[in-house]
Amino acid sequence: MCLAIPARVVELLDGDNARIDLGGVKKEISLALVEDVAVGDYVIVHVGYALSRLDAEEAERTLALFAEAGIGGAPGAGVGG
Amino acid sequence: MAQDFSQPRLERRHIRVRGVVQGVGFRPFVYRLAQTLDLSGWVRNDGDGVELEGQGLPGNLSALIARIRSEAPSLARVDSIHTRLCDADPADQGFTIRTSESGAVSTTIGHDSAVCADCLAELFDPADRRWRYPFINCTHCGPRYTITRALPYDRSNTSMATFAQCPACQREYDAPVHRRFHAEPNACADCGPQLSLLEAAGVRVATRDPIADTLLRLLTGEIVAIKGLGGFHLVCDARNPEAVERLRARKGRGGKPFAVMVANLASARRWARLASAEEALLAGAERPVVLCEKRPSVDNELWGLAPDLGSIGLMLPYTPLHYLLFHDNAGRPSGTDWLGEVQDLALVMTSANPGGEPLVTDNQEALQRLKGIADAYLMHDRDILSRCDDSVMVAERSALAGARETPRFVRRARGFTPRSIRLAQKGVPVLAFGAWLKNAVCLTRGDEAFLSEHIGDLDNPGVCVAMDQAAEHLQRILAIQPEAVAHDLHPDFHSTRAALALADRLGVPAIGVQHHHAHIAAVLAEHRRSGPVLGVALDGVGLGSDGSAWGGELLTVDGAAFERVGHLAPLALPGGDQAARAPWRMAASALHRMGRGADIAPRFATQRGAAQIKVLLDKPHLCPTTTSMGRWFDAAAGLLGVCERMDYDAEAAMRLESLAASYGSALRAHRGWAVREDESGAELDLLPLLAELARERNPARGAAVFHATLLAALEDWIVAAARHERLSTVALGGGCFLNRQLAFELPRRLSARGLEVLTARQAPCNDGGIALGQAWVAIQQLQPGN
Ligand SMILES: [Zn+2]
Ligand SMILES: [Zn+2]
Repeated sequence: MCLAIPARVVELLDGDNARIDLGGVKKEISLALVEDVAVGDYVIVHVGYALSRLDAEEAERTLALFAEAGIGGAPGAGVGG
Repeated sequence: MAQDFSQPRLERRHIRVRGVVQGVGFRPFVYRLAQTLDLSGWVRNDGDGVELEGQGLPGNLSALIARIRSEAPSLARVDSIHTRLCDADPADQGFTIRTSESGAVSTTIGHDSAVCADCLAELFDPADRRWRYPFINCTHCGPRYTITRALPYDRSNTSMATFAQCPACQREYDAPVHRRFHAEPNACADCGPQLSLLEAAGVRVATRDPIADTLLRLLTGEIVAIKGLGGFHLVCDARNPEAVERLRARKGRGGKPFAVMVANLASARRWARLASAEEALLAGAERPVVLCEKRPSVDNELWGLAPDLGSIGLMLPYTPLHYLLFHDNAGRPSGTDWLGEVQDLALVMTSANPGGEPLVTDNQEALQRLKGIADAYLMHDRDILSRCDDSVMVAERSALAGARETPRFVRRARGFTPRSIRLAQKGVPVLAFGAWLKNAVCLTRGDEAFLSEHIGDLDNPGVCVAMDQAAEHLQRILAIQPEAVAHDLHPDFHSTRAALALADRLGVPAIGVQHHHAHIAAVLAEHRRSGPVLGVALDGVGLGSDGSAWGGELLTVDGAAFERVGHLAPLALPGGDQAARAPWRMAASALHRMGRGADIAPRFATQRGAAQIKVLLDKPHLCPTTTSMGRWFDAAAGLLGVCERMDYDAEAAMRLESLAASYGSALRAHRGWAVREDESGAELDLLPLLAELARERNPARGAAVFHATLLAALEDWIVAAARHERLSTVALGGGCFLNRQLAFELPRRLSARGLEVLTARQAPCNDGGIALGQAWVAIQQLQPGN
């Protein structure tokens, strides 16, 4: 999925990876591009990578902002071409 | 062996012919040549192609070999002929066709081919026993790939197996001199497939003439699902705007243009200005949909078919069934003269795949999946065993005096699948899984690459299953088990997951290939090159090796290695993919980068969330960025108000291109771009151009200025990079090269600057060709020494 929306980190995995929860969908992503991520943090996920880290408060504000901007909803698949 | 000097000296040669030589009338062709040249011996198919022994005067044997090459049947392709002398047998009399070696494996199954002129003459001859029989064919024409289950290509392995030939057909099939000798789908009205017409509810219509009834329904505005060669089409009268609109709504297709089938070239000329190359493509045995420059009559008389676009997709009939609809509409004339005259009937023919699902192929499946879309079904009882969509091509006019007009693929499918693309070197068999959009998979065997039929966008489970089937089908019909797999770097693509799972199961290496490296490698593969070249990838989006979204890149490519030496300036992508579907968001992103974030809300006041987009763009850590060329097109279209939201992939770019063409030539924007060096290479920034477009009041002029400036900027950037890298060859790849101006004008300019230019010809330049590039990278990476 290429939705650049906040997702909650639910588990840290081996090799710079983490499992995230995005609207109930769990998936594995890479943390290679951000530092100091802990379980419970939110990350902006894009094409399988976390792009930045957000604390819970900022994540909430961001999700509201996305919703107002008409972005978000169910996690979909990415556009590849 | 003692020589008998009372006889003229006899020579006997064993001759081996490789290529596409089975199921195309090759053995009868050899048989007839042998008769003409007074040769004895035999011919047969085997696992390697065709083998024969000929015996006679040496000059006649030489003539045989020469004529096998020069006069081969129209559907055949002779790749090689090897001969060796063997012992003559003075007792050998006459020439025979031997049956295939048992268990023989056809080297390749042929592609589907439009009904030939000889069969058409029979089809419209009231005295012929196949008059108006919708499944007429011979060794020179008809279905191949789509009716074949497995090797060898024998009737028993096709969906014709259930139809026992009547005595008359069997005689043709058995007679070496007949055009239908071993025509595997041979049939007639007495013994072959039959049509049936069904109501929407699936009830069979009691009609003696399903074709006449179907035509009547079409002419009264109904949408009929018609079973074709590789799948069902949804068909309606192209001159009935209400029917076209209803089809659009029922199929959930938005504004995406429809292809139109017309009877012949004379009729096609009514709707489009045709270059000779376009006419050749339209009338070719592969019968692709050809994107042609539309005449104003299209918007007046075929209303709503290709809204706001400069081109229209045209196609000529390719099955006898299609021809019969036109024949019926013409009043069922005898003979074929009517085929040279303009015919009024124009039919929308769109692949029956509701909402991005795979093409419908099965009768029962059609009744379920097309429920609510089709008003009736024209079916038959011959199964489609390999799904295959229509191919889509472009033949461009040449701007270079004397240069050849060369066709390009938008989609490579029926008529071309499963023809191979020859590579520069042999390698281990690789199965490459492609990417995401417009996907096709590719299997290699030796130095041949077999690109599957177009599969579609992997965004629903049905298409993912279709991809798995296509991969399995290729392995089965080529009798090849891959020794390596190749895939995109994107971890979430179904294609990537399928590749990794197969590699795991087979215990073979899985090779991840960066998306744009694969685009360039696809071009190199078909040109039988490995590099070093400067690759110019102008594309929608692909995952870069740094985890960001790429799509406007300069790469140096040498074999399996590549380096990024340039890229377009990044644009923020607010909301990731969702920005990619709404050009107004890319326009907002560009305005924000110009420091004009305050302009976003008033400018896009009608768009939901316009104010919030500015807030999002103010926080760069919330927005990923992209270097995609496609998104720069979107931003330009958004700023010009040409397209604020997209109904289909690349809509904004296509509209922008059409609008630019309608305006004509324009001057490029003064200081419209900048090239800067950063740590990842030469960055081309088009922001000054977009700033000018933001002020433009005439969208058509803006679109023309955008194209003119973009071409000049690309030329500048590419030529400088080629000099810097000391490379004299550039390879152009990526979906943006479907844009006619880029596809045509950029190579002209680059070659005028002394560069050798390679472009995609045998595979689509978009993601439909990416599996070919992945396979080529994998083959080179697996070479000993790498
Ligand atoms: Zn024929
Ligand atoms: Zn028959």
